[in-house]
Amino acid sequence: MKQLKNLRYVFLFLIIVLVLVLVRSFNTNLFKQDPGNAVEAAQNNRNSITLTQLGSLKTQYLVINLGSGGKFDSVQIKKSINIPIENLLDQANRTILKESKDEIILYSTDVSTTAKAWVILNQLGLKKLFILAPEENTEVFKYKFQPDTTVRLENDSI
Amino acid sequence: MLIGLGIILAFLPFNTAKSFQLKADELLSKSVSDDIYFSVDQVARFVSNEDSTFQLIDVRNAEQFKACNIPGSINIPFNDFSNPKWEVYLNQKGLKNIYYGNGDQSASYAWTISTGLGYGNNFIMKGGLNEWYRTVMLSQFEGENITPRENALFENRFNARKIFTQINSLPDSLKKHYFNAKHLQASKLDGGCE
Repeated sequence: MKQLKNLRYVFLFLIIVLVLVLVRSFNTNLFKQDPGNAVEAAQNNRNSITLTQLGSLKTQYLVINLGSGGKFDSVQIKKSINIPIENLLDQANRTILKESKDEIILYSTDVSTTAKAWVILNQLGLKKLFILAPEENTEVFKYKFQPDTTVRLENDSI
Repeated sequence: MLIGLGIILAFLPFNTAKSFQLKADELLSKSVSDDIYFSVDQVARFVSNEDSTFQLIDVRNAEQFKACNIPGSINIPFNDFSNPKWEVYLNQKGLKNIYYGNGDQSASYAWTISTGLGYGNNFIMKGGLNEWYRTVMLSQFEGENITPRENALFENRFNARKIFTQINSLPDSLKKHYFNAKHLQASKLDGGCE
């Protein structure tokens, strides 16, 4: 009994550590993934799916339109729901995302919005997450730089 | 006691990689703000003024960067973004990091990852290099009367265009000399030593 009394501080310490670990483990607002996974998955648009690929997809999918207000748009896709990006992490929307067994495809007219939402959800551990690629690949450089062959270091610019 | 220890060990995060430091809702709220974007005209002004409080980060691959880039940029290809060697450039408290790619997608990935990791002062050049080219490199004033505001805008674009063309026309070996000469000139104007 006396021995147990001596150990009470050790037990207390262990309980505090356990509580802290459990709080961290079950806190859905904290990220626990390796950011390198997001970089790897997004390389060379491996996380993107085109509208044509979507049409021929054999598996079930859920398209999420991230547009809000005036930006809610345009492409009408079967099985699409609207979750404005501002509300992406609301409890109800988190439940939809977490409980979906289907592939989740994010869509917005603004590729920046889709990209940011994809990274956040990827880092929250959501699997089977894709981006609906825009019709035109915005990551391709459309112009060709024409060097000025007359430029010399002696010019007045320096 | 052993059971207690076992439970703790079972839940301890053994992932040694650095995960995002920001909370999810905090990162989301930052990411929906319009304040994270700079227009190409704003970036053109930083380039023209050689503003040293900004660090332009080109996230395209090395080949594209070599073909042309915005003067003063450093190249951190997105495909290599998680390499720890870049942290020294990404996590600089005194500088504002402006990410750009050809469009907005790669730059937005880079912005979200670096902001999530807790690095401050991150921005995106809206529209990327395609927008830069369309607005800064190719646009011309069309009209008869130019207002002072339009005049300032086009002068800014013209200066940035001139610097972009000059720098990107130089062979790689001379680009370094160009920047060294610029820094020397700036230190002379500031009254510093050569």
